[in-house]
Amino acid sequence: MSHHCNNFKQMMSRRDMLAKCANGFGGLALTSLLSDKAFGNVLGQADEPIVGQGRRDMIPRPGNLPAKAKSVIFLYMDGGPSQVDTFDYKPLLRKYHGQDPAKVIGKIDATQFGNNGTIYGSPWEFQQHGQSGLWVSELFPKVAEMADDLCVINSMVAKFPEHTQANYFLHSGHGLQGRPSMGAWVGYGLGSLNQDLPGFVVLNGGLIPPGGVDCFGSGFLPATYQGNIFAPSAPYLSNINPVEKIASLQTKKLDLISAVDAAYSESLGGQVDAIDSAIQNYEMAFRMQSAVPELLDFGQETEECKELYGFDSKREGAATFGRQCLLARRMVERGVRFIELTCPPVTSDRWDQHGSLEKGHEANAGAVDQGIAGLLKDLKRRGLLDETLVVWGGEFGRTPFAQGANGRDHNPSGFTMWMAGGGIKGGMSYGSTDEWGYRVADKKVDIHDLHATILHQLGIDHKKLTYRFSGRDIRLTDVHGHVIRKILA
Amino acid sequence: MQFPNHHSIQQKSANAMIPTTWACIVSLSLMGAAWAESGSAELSDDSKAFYHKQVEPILEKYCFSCHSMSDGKGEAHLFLDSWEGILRGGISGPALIAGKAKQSLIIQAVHQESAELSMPPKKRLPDQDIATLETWINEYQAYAPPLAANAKLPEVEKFDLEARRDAHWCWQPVQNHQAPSSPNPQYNTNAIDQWIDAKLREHELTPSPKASKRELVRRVSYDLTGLPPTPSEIDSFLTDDTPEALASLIDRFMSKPAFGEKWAQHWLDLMRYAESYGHEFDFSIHNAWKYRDYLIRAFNQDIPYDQLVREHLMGDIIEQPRIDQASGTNESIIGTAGIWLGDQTHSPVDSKGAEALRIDNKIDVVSKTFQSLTIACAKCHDHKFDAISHADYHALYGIFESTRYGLNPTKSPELLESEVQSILKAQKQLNIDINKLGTHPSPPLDPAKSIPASGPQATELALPTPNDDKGWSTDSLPPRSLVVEANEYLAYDSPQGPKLIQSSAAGIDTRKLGLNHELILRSPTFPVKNRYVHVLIDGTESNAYLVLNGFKLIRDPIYGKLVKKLTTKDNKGLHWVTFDLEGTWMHGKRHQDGIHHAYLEFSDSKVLGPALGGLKTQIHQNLRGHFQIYQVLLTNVRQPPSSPSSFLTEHGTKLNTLYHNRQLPVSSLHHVIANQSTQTDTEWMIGSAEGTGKDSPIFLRGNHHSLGQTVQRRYLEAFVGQTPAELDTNESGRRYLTEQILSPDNSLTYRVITNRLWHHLFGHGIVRTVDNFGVLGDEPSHPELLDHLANQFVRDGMSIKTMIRTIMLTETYQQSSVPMNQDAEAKDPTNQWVHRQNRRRLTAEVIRDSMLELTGTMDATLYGPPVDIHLTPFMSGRGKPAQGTIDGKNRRSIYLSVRRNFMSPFLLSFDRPTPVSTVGRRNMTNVPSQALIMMNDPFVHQLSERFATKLLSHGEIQNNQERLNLAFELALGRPIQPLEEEAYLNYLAGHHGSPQERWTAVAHTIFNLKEFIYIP
Repeated sequence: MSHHCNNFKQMMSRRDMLAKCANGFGGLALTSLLSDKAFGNVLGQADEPIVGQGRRDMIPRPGNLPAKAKSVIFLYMDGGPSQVDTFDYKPLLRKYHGQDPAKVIGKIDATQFGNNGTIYGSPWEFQQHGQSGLWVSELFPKVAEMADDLCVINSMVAKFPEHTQANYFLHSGHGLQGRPSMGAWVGYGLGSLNQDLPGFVVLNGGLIPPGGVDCFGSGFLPATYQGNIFAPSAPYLSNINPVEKIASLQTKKLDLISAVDAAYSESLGGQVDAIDSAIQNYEMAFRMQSAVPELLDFGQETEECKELYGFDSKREGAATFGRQCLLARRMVERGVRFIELTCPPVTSDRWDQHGSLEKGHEANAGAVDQGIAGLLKDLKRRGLLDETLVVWGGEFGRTPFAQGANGRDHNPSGFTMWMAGGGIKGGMSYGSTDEWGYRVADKKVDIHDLHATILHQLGIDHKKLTYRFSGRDIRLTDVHGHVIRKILA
Repeated sequence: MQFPNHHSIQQKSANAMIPTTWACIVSLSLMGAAWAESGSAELSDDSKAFYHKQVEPILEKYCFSCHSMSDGKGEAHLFLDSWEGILRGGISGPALIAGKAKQSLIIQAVHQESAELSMPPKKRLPDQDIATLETWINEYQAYAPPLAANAKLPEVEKFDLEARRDAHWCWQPVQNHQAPSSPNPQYNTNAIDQWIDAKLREHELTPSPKASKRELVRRVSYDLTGLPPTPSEIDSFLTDDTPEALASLIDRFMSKPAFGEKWAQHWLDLMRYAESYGHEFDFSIHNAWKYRDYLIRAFNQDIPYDQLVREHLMGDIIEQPRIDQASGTNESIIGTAGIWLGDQTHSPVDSKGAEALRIDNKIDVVSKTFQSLTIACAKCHDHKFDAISHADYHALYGIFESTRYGLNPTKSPELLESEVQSILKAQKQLNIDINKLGTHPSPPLDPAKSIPASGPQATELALPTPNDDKGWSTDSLPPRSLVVEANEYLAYDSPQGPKLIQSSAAGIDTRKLGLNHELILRSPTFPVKNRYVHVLIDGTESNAYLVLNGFKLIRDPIYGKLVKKLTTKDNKGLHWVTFDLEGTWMHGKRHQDGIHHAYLEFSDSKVLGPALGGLKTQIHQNLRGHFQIYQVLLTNVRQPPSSPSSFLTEHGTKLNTLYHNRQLPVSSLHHVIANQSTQTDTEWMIGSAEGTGKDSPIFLRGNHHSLGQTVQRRYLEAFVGQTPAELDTNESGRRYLTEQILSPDNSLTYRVITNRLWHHLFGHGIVRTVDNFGVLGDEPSHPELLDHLANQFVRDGMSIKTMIRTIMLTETYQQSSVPMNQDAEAKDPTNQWVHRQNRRRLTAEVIRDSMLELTGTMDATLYGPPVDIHLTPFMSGRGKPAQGTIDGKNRRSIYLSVRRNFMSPFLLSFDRPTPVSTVGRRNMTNVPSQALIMMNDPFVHQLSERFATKLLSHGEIQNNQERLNLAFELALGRPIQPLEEEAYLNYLAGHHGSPQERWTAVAHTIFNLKEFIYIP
């Protein structure tokens, strides 16, 4: 019997090997700029279940419904903004300001700190905006200008009144660590329209939400689909910068590696898929190295555009966040599927104002208002808003009564999120809370419904996107979730 | 048409339901209630009219679109448009109980008080409609029209546990099969090869030839130690031509401590090992790393598997604890930490819900690890596929709910026992001696100084007596040994010198064992029915906790009220400590029967306080505390009864006189003190402690606020039937559970563990889904072989090393990983018939460890506290740990800290699992971020520099060829091939940096070779 292991090195000829050493990666760099156009929009209709046990690539693939949006931008308001101070106008709170909530509202649910104060009327004025007349508080003057593009959902509920669980729940539809984040599900379901950039990106403003980076994890899905975190300042992406100071030093190395690897693969009879994909990963990684700097280079953006996003804003954090918003648009243009933005750290701790509501919410809103408005305007004028679903919100809302003297505690029983673009009706509000902005009164929307709707707009029937793990076919929406049909354009 | 009266319909439906499962019994009993309420009632035309006028429009508007025969939709099998449909109900049971609106599911659903049972989905019924439905049920016997004569409710598939058990392989007993002999004599040396060969022949497959010796030594080295072989290890194996060469190679590698480090990591994956609790602040898990070290020792010492299982499940109550010879510590008790390594929130708003989640996780981990069953899938309903009922889940829930989180002393129990006994003996002798004096050294005790009456509105929680622990427990000795009877004398080693004291009231007094002795005392578990718990207590540097729903990680702001500290600073003397349970954390009504439970825990020095709090774990060894407990009252009265200011009489001065007069032998007092002060310290380790045995009610639809019937603690019905012998209330049931799991008749346990060993040696198991032997898992490719392994394992004394050695010595294991031919690969693309070995990627830890090892820079120190990992700029957030060095102090990866919110990106990228639940089979992904790490990560670069230094500093090397060859020998375990050499020499020639730079670059490319990260 021939001993295959000893003669395999001869399978690749000397010429092959040296040729491989000489010309691989240098040429690869050029292809990176082309690749975003290499894949068209292949979304289609199939009404088929999307299951892909063993799948771990980012090749674009059709969903099972007609798609309205190609990408999602999730503006994640970490900490839980107050609905009654932003988009859910409740004038009665002012009337009853200072009174005992148990007497005015009635039964009060358990709160995180159990330090409930009196009814707390919003310190901010509300006005109606646009033709639609949506109510927006003065915390968001610039976003208010886009009122006719917003679909404000006032009837959100969350399952958990505590940050970490609520964060996991909002991101993964499950209150504990370890499930795939929605961006990971989207990548798993649809692949990516750009093979040189990750399909799920988190543009970190500087705060990682409670629960840590696992909010953006791929859980039991292959690691391909996990969120790639871009830092607010350089280095923007982990290990993206070559250790070699000169590009050719790296390409020569990669050429050598690829030559020896190719011989190794051949020696195994080309039978080991894993090894061949590991080899291919080096090409993708190499292309990412050039695609990411190109993405981050704002040289082609006009001054007007940067201004629109608030690059020159004096508000703390606004320029950082504006930069993230512009980056989000550039990613949308390049076909990144799911882009999540987290807030910049401003004077207070996220949107989590257990005390000093006025100061904290002013600061937080000030940091994000212009960037968000700029993003919406810019997407719209470029014709991208139609195919980009923008989602705004936090893990829960806040109580209409005070915590202590001047804060608000967590409130999962009724809060606000909004969507824009991506086939969602603009200029409308959906659902409502009671007259106190405390509990949902009409058209309750839970997080599973939100997920179902996001997936629906991307062309996925949420009931048919499953992954078998731990003996179950698991979905982002678990066994729940209804698409909010009334808000679809 | 005349509709039949309710009575007859109900009877008919009831007969149609055969109670094969517990769930059906629930349904049946609910129906029983319905008969009682409405059976005799005459149904009037009023009822009909009320239904049609008032009720039907509501159901029509809100319910029928999903729950009616008329619309053809029966979501959750529920049809509300006929009486039969209502009565049969859906998956949650009958929709209503006539006459009992409050208990009716439909009413609970429309009130929308729980997320699990909330209808209609998108809206809420107006209050007046809800009221109408209630009236319908309470006052109109819930009349609904009968099913049309020719109509029939669609069948609901019944859960038939027996049929499922009989139909699925994993429940069938392990068999003894005769291995088929092979025409090829080389396979006839052992049954493993025979079974494999039989399947290969059956599928007309040719096995691969034996791997080369170079490949073998590399494979064996990685599989046993997780490290590459050194060139000298390779050489000595290559030159050993004896038939025993491989066997002795295996023995050499198995005897290295690295064996334990490698195999403990597999076990850590099963136990979702971490050193922090995750969630908002990522607090540390006290001494978690000692559990990791325990595992390393256990695998190195080849502790029999049954002992390992026993220690994990009941190491705290094991008859003969295993003592580590080197340190004298109690190994068995450390094993119980395994199930407590899950995540924890620090202030859950719903403590009962938090407990339910944590117990669910324990059930998941235990059932997957030891049985490869997904019992946690039966949390909300009967298992969708397997022979596991909703009741089974709750039978186990009771066992884990009755198991408490404890800090346990790791000191040898024998030593502890002997120290305690000698103190108690001396105390007894002291009392005898004093009483012998005839005249009491003190005046008669004041009768007013006695325990106050509890009052009519309070329930007393009985304290231990000299003969009865009354359900109380401590970490070690029986609580009765802490009882001090009224007027009993007691000596102790106070900081001011020896003291003799006497109490007028009976109670618990930890001074009996002296201040050196730290201990934890726990009350029995009691249901929370009253607002206040009053404890009459005295002491200092101690803590009293009220542990509500098993929640121990007490921390302000919410749970601060549940811990009371006794300090020297605000020495209160004898006083009442009051726990007020009116708090937000209850999340539900206090009086709701059976939902909330609690127990009291006292620790006798401040030392243990924060540690028990579990979050901050500094130990202050210099604080010595004590406490006395005289009464515990459960009541709704805020004000405790008035109590005396002290029960104590100190005999300090009187004593001197007694000694002086030589009336009292000095030795009898000093004997006590001497024994108290020579007690040795102990370490404290997280783990299990016995609690009051309590059966759990079923959580309907998985909702812990919606309770069904109570299920007796027991193991799975598929194994033990529905009504095995009842467990005593003084035990959690873990001993019983362990017996069930280790029973020779258990069809899973030994298949599961041998399958895991096979998985780690081949890259896939005989059952590929190593954590799931259920219906959704894979079937065994070689069922007879699996049974053979299980039997052999038991016969060999459950030695993990023996089983690994046995497998490694087979032809099957030693095959090449390259297929014999294309044909074999085409016929068996997934290699399920093992026609070759599998080329396996190194795990994350092994990749990192290999780089350290082959550059000669590994710090091979065993054990110890975790080493901080290097945090990248992307890792921030609350609980951020200290920054570690890039090289992790050169320690093996198993010693790197595992903090849930700050996991090593390097290890995660190569598929180290996040610690959530049992992972017996890791993902093996192949993603660009791995390439980016190997290309650009500072760790890889630093190790490349070290590799270059090693290559350049090697004294005997003459030229670049030899240096390249050495690099390949070290990293890949083989000489460089001519073509490779030429490519590398060309590369070196084109690189114009310094020698260190050039060789760093070479080293870097070698780390990036795919061959480097694959086991041949």
